[in-house]
This record gives sequence, structure tokens and C-alpha cells, in this order.
Amino acid sequence: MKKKFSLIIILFVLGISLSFGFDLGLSADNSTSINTYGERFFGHWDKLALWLRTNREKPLSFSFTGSYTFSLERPYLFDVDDLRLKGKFLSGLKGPASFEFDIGRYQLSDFTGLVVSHKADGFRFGFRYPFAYVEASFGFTGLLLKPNSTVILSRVDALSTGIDKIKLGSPRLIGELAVQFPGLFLRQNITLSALFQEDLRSTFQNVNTPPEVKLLEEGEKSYYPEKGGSVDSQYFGLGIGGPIGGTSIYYDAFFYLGTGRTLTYIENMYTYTSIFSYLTGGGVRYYNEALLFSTIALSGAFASGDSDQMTFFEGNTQGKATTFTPVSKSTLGLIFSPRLGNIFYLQASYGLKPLSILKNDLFKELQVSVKGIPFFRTTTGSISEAGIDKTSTDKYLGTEIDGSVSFRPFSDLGAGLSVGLFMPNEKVFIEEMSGLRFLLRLDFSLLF
Amino acid sequence: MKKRFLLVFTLYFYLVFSMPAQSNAVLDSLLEEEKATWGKCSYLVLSAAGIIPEDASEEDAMRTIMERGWQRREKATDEPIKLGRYSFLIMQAFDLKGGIMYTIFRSPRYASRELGFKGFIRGDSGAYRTLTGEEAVRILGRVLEWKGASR
Repeated sequence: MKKKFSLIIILFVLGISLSFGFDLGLSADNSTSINTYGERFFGHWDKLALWLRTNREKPLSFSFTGSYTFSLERPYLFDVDDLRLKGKFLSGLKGPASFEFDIGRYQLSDFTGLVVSHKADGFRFGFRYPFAYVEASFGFTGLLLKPNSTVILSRVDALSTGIDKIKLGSPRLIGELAVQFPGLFLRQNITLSALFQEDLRSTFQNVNTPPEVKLLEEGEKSYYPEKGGSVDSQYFGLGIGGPIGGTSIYYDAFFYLGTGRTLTYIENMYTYTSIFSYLTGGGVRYYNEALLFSTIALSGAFASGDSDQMTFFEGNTQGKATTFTPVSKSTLGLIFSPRLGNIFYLQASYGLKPLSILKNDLFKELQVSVKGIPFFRTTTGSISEAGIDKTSTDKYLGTEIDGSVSFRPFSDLGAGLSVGLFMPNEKVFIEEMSGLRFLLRLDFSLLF
Repeated sequence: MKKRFLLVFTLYFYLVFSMPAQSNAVLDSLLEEEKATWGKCSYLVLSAAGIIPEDASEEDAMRTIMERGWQRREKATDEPIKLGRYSFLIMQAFDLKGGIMYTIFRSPRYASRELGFKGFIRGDSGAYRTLTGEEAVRILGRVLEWKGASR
């Protein structure tokens, strides 16, 4: 009976696909790694995804991706990766040149991708004018499955990751209004952004909420080292970027001011204190197609910290909380990838297609890249990663060197080999965490 | 808009000079089609690949693709062609190699994916959508350009 039902569903989807011009398919991804740190020496996951989409060239299109993931930590995880109605309309002579929107589960990102770059359920709409692009995005993160969410801003968020009973990610409302002015002067692009995230845990808290993740109330007199309250934050950003003169060297620079509120235990009582933080950074990159498609890039970011911060999440103990707290986690190194708070890093990278001179199409697209990232903390306060010696005063955390080879010989087959080496500063990390960390990872992807 | 015009203009002239003179009339009328049709696309692809002579008709082109087994169900020359079918014609006519799935199944679905991967199709490379005459010309132009460069 079950088999018959599955067959009917498959035939129905295939029928719809052929009748209405849908395209659907399967993709399989596999990743295997060995490393010298963490709980497991050997890591492995497989992901099988079913995708479906309508003609994206039409004004209205629909896409869906559902996936099953197997990993050594979890034998099964079913999730909806993408579920979106997308619209793009060209308008008349008056008003904006085009209007576009996304409704459903989509990737919500700020212009740097460093404050937030995460899936969210909601909507986004944008108006394109000849001189500017105005975009407003809203999303809710409380329907995402916990293992697929990196939205962690509070102690309760962090505690929830270890409680099996809790299946969903942090319930937060994220909103952004961004205005981009392309080619405003000398081909320079300017972006202004105002972003907020609102902690909705207090709304969703009920009698079934496990006691260990119940929010602390303002005015609470007893001290709870593990517990915390709501964290709400706002970010106001300015970015500039474009080519340097008439060269093929491009640069970008940005600044974000972070505000908000966080619960702090001051004078034997929990009170909400203000967040006043910042994130700034930028980079330059040079691309030369004639030189084996070489890309050389230098970049870096400085995220403010707080020397009196005892733990990374809600660890403020005095005055204003000055550690920058991004909404989602960005990937920096293969091994060492702290959240962008109380962190300063520089990154130098070089990538090329060494076999692009060959006539053979099969190997032309093979890409090799290498990057080095020295990490520092901006104050002696806490960072998001474990293993820091609380008594150390050194700011230098260590350097990571990563290399990768990616090879996509066919449209439906891709492979990648990545190697990472992190050399921690022994003066900052506790003894058990101060050794060299190594990672080797092999990835395959197949599209059916 | 200016950029788009220039690109079509360049590809148009690339095709005009690389194809037999009689094909130019078909090329002109194909460019005007909102939905590219089987007859014109088949004729253009097959004549560009040198499979049919330049004085052949759209019907001759359709007959040739049926004879070669590249299309099983008969189609009217004025019937809109899907992107997958058009890509499959190009892959077969120019004997292009595809990925693993294309090598196994030899189907339109994987043909359009392959042309998308190679950059000949820009935008959605879904096999089941229709395409404009202008897009059909652009795709064929890029294939011919690439064939010329890789010779």
C-alpha cells in the first residue's frame, strides 16, 4: 500500500512537471573529513535533496528544495531548504524600473553577509530605480530546524542547542531596509542599511518550555551563571565599493554600528543594559584572466569586544555591552571560525585555474586556492570559541592556513579537496587546546 | 539595453558569416519569434552543423532529425520548441560531449543542463520551458563561437 502510494506521488509530480513546465531533480552531496580536534576524529555526512522549480525566466516562478541528511551525529534530518515564490516585474515609464519580491523560505543577507546571512521565512521586496535599489526584507527564524540554524545571540539560544527536546532554532524576527546607489560617482557603489533582530522567546515561552531555557526577568536578584534574558539588537551600516581608478583592482569598505539591549547582572540584580558596538572592515581584490584566471585578495574585519565580558553570550558585567554580536555565524577558516565579536582578522588569498591553458575541457575548470588568516581578539574579553585561558592577556589567537582544490569536470559531478591547519597561540589557549589542529575534507556532489 | 543590442548584433553577424546565405532569411524570421519554433530551429542548427544543404527546407530539417532518431514524435514546423529539445538538437548535431547523466540517458533534460553549465544558455536552463527566437540565436551563436575557438 505504502509502495503504491509513493509510486502515485512520484507519477503525479512527474506528470505535473511535464504538463506545467516544471523542472525537478535530485542532488546528492557527500562530505568526509578527518581532523585532530573536537569529539570525532572522523566526520561524515550525506545529503539527498529533491528540487523542483518552474521557469525562472517568467515574471512569477516557484522553487522548492527538500532534503534528507545523514550524519554521524544524526541518522536522519529532513528539512525544507527552499520554498519560494519569486516575482520580477518590469514597470512602465513612471516609477521604478522594476519590482521584485520573494515570499517563503529564502536567504536573508545584509550587504556584507557578515551580520546576517541565513535562511528565514518571510518576504523580501525590492524596487529598482535608475539611480538606486531599495530593498526591504523580513524573516522569522523560529521555524528553521535547530541543526540548520546558526542564529545564536543569547545564552538561552546557546543552551537550547544541547537540549534534544527543542527541535527548532531561535525564534527571532529579522528585518532590513537597504538602499544601494550603484555607480553614484567614479563607478563607486554606496550602500546604506538598517537592520534589526527582535528576540521573540518571551512570546513563545509557555508552560512546556524546559525550565533551563526559561528567560530571566529584569529585577531578578539571584545570580544564574548559565541562564539569560532576551537579546534584541539593531545594526546601522554604510558600505562603499568599486574599482580603484581605471584598474581592475576592486575594493570595498564597510562600517556597522550595533545597538540594542542585553540582560546584565549589575549590583546584585539583573537589569537590561544597552549594547553599543561596531564592526568595520574591507578588502581589495585583483583578477587577471590572462594569468590563469588568478584572483588575489586581501581583506579583514574588526569587531568590537568588551574586556569585562566573561562569556561570549550575555557576558557583560559592567556598563554598556560593547561586544559586536552578529545575527548569524559566518565561515572564516575551515577549522577556526569564531563569531564576529571581539575578533580582528586579516585574510590573504590566492586562487587560480592552473590547467586553464589546456585544450581539454575536462581539466580546464580545476580551481586551486590557498588562504592565510591570522586571528586576534580585540580585547581580553571572551570570544565565541572554547578553550581560551581566562588569565591570558595576549590578543593574538593563532593563524589558519587553508588550501582547496575544486574540480567540476561535468555539469552533474563536482569534487573538492580541502586541507586546513590552525596554529593556535599557546599563550592564549588552555593546554588541551593549544596543539596544532588539522583537517582534511573530501566533498562530492552529484546532480541527477 | 545598449549592451544587449550589441551582443545580439555581434552574435547575429557571427551566425550570418558562418552560415550559408539562404539561412539568413530563416535567421531573420527566427529572431522575430516570441516562441522559437521547431522548423526554424531545426533548420538553423542542422544547416550550421553542415548536416543539411543550404537549400534545404524546414521540412527537410524536421525529416532529418526524425530519421536520425533525435526526435521520436512528429512535430509541426510551427510548433514551439522546448529548451531541452533545442539543446538536444545542438548537442547531437555538433556531437558535443555531456556529463555523466547525459552520457547515460541522452535526453533533452540533461542536454539543456549541459549547455547551461558550459555557459551557452544564460539564465534558467530548465528543459521544459520555451525560448524566444532571439535566445535560440544567441545560444547557437555561442556554440559556434566556442566550436571555432576550440578548433
